[in-house]
Amino acid sequence: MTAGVGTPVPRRPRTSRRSLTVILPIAFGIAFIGLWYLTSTLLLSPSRRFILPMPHEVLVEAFLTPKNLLALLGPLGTSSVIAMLGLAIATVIGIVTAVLMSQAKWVEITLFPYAVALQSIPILAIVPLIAFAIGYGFESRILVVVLISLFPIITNTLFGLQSTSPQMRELFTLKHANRWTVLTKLQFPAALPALFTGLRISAGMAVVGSIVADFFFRKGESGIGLVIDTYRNQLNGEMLYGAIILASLLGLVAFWVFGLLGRLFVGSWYRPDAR
Amino acid sequence: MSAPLVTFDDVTMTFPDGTVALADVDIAIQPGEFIALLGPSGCGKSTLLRLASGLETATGGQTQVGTRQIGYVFQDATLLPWRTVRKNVALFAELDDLSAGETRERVDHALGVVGLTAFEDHRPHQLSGGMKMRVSLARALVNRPKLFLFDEPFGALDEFTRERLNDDVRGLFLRERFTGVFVTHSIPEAVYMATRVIVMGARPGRVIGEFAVPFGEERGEAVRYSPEFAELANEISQCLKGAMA
Repeated sequence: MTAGVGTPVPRRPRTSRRSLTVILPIAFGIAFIGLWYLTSTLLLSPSRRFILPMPHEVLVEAFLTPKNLLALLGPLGTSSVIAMLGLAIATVIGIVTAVLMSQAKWVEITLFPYAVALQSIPILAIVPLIAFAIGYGFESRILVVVLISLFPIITNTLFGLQSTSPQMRELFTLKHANRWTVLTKLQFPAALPALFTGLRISAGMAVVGSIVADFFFRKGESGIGLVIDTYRNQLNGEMLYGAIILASLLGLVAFWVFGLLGRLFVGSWYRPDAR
Repeated sequence: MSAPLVTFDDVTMTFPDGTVALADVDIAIQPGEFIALLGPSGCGKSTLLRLASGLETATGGQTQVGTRQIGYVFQDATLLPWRTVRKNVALFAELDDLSAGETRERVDHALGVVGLTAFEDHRPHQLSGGMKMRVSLARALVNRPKLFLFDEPFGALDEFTRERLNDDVRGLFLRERFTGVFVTHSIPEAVYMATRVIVMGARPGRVIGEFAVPFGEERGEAVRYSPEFAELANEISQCLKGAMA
């Protein structure tokens, strides 16, 4: 037999698109900062400028003054730890739930409405309940993170587990493979891209959750949310913006890290545009 | 004549929605035959393969298969995209819990036979459609099949690639000496590939004709464009048209 039928499919050149994906966001960022300066200087009188201090003021006050920067970084670290712990717990619960749903239709039918409900209930509405049940401490903050980040992990993992084609499953049926083998060798690997999509969404949600929780559960080490609230009360615009920017960066980093992890784990085979 | 390797005895297949896919089908396949199952869509030819492989059970009659070493090639390559070519080919050995040494030996052989040894570390998305199908063939070969089932395997490929792959399958047949059942709806393909063509009609699926193919083992362009080839193809075509009228 000859080796001549077909040749490897070459990769598309991507250089031009890649440079655009760098240039366009940077251009937008510059325009945004310009607009910020314009608003701050032209629209606000000096006495009201604390509402929107100029970017360089935020930079100097919040980020280039070591004492102030440390006052922000400590709480940011606390929030990161809470977000990561909550996300880890949500990941475990989410994957287990999705696996159970994929193995038995009745589990899916039973649990899915509650998973949707979990997503639809405004987290703020159940915060008093959480406080009532387990208090104002660390655990409550983590619980908020778990609740807010669980749904995307369940739905995306379940979607991934169910994305295998009937023919792929028949490959395993031909060999009378058991459920565990089908799960570990077929469904779970097939679900990884979707799982990472879910994790990326949930990572952002987890950061939001940890900041929201800070506003309500004030016991223990303060997180960045509490710091935001404090500076708001003090009308300290520079530090308030500094804290908000850091919190946003945390969300971005979380999103980016899971995007990177996803590429690391499934990038070698997964092509979103050609499934 | 030795005992048949595959026997369909009065086989009936009725799906839950009431569709009769197969009605009273009697086919006996001898070891060493290469059968082409030819017919229009909906004549139950793929269902016969599913019955022979154990993927489905008939609702009536007897299906007997004298081996458990079965190779099955679907219409799509159905490769696991996260696995390399080598790991894809090793799938069935893995599911059978073969030893590492035995697996390596069989996979090496299968990759060599389909000419993809150099591509063993590639992933499916890096391969062309024809190469993917050859990985699929190699994966089935790892079973050391005594019975090789082909379910319209190259239908999605272009004519040129398809003819080359058909030659590859012919080559495999002559070399590995399995019994082949090849589902197709192309008359020339059936005649070119098979030692016997079984023609099926639809609604309900049933056998409407059988044709022994007189050509020997070596088949090339000379056979494909010979008058005998055209004559047999024409006869089969008449048989199909008679059933459809």
